[in-house]
Amino acid sequence: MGTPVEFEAWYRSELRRVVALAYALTGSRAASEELAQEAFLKALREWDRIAGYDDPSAWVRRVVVNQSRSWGRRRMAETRALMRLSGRRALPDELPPDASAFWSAVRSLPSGQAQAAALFYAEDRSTADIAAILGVSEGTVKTHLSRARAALAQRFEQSIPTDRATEVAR
Amino acid sequence: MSVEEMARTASIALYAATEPVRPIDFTARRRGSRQPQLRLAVGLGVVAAVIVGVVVVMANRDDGTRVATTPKEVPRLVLGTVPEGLSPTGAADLPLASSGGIAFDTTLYGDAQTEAWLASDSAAGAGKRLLVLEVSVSGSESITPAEGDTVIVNGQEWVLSSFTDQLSLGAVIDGKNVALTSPGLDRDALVAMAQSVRVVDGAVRVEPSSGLKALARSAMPPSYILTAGRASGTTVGHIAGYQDSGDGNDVVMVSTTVASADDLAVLRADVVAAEPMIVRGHRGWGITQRFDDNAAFNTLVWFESDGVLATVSGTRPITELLSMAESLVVADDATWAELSQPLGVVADGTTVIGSGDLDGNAWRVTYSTSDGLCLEVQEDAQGSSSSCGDASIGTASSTPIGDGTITYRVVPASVGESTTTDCNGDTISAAVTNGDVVPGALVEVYLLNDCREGVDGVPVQATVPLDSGGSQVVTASGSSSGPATTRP
Repeated sequence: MGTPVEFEAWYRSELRRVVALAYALTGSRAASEELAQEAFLKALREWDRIAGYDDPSAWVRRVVVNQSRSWGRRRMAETRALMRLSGRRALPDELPPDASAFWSAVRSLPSGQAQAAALFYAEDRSTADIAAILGVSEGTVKTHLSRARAALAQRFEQSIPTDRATEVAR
Repeated sequence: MSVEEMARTASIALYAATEPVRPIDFTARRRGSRQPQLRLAVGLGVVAAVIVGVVVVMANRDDGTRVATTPKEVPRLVLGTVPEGLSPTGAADLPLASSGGIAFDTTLYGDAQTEAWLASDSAAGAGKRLLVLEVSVSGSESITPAEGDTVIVNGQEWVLSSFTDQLSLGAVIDGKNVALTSPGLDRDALVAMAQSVRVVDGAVRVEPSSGLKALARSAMPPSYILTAGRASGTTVGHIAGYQDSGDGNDVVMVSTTVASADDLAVLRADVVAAEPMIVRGHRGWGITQRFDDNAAFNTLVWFESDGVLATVSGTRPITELLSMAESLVVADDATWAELSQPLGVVADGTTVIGSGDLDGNAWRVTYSTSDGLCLEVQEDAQGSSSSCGDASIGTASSTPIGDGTITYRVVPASVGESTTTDCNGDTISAAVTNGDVVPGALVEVYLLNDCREGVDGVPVQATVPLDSGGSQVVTASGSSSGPATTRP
């Protein structure tokens, strides 16, 4: 890795999945694309270094996850301005009601749980992958996922046995 | 349905919703700009800067409509009675000296009905009207194109979108952000307008369709900026801010700025509804704007005297704003100076914005009117070193300090919280703890390490006066998220 061409190929192969991850965490289709593009721009800026990582994809997801965390507080300022200056776009909720409700519930979880759940459910990532992306131990990820699943089950009135709730992680 | 089944369905929907995602041609951007990789990020920063009305370069007017007024002729209005729950947070003379290099130029086209409406007090019957907004950003930076339906007109890509029942076509043409917005024209009419767009001598020109003619032209910021109490884009004026001491969501701003009848006409034509009302004995307008989270921001706007536009705006209801407007008094120099007085100024006139320890080296960031923003580092047994430099709106600059790097980035004061990412992908966020409505520019100072193991970046954020007129200096705090760095 290390050349613009290689960056382009990597970027194009990853972009949609990273946008989806940001979408799950922000609830804003427009914001998700902006956050994803911003993360890839950061990657491009430091591509010589990042290309040497074992998993550049984990790096860009880490950036997006962290940026998404503060998006809620930023969006009043940035999205509003962006929306209006650049053609006054609306920010439609493009997800079907059930999907929208699910990801909304994910976002309502404590941030660690929400991030782990988004990576787990939207990206189908393993707990080891999630641990690497979030920079926490795999045990922490399993705890987050277990609690997240229990909360989601309670939210959607799906009671599950406690022992099952602890087996979410693969 | 189990959580897993719901998740599966929700994930499928999530990916389906990302279908229109379009990659940026980074390679092309690399060829086209010296700093293409910063275009989007800086663009976002610029847009954010716009919303709080940091200093805006006024476009030179060639129609002679702008009233020539010196700052001393514009009264410094402040609340005579500060409502319960609010307290003054700062005041400043406009414009601030540091310019963001942004220029607005809006032309209002309308039909005969629009012309009659402008001359009336009516809130309705505005007729067919078109606003052509041109936003120029200094250098080669651009504001990120909007999302919406793409329309190709004469080979130029435009984005068609709607907002509060208004259609808008937006494009980036020759580095200028152009928006054609109309509450009264349909899509075909807007596209026809877009077909007529030409850039002549660096300015955007539109050939209006039959029945429309140019009625007003304004270099003020668009309505959603002006009515948010951020009138600092005008040539001269004053602004004072008030805010609650709790979560900072309750704000009131008072501004007086030089403006013309054209400016008010463009403002009225751009908002959904401006209700006529009497404010301090003058004909004025009440404007309510609702944003995507349904939050309301109310504004009273009126001409306090010829050429002096006044606003009282904020989160309080229109009726309360009317009472506040009635209480306005002209601040004398002593009162204004007190409102503008920086907080936390130490004896030698230097404000300590933040301090800490960077990998064993004590550091502090200071601001003084003589040296500007400075980073001072006390190095082990090697004495101290300092680095001072100016930062300008919307740009970032970095200076190596010892084994670390200090990065300055100037962002708007009311962003509240902003973030950057250090070399390891960890987010460094900083939230202003006070002074969100202070009408000065916010300087983020990030002390970033150079990717050494176990060392995180340290954010410092504060509002500093970037002009000699002085806005409030507030201390602030920040935090670094993510684990300690472990990458090589």
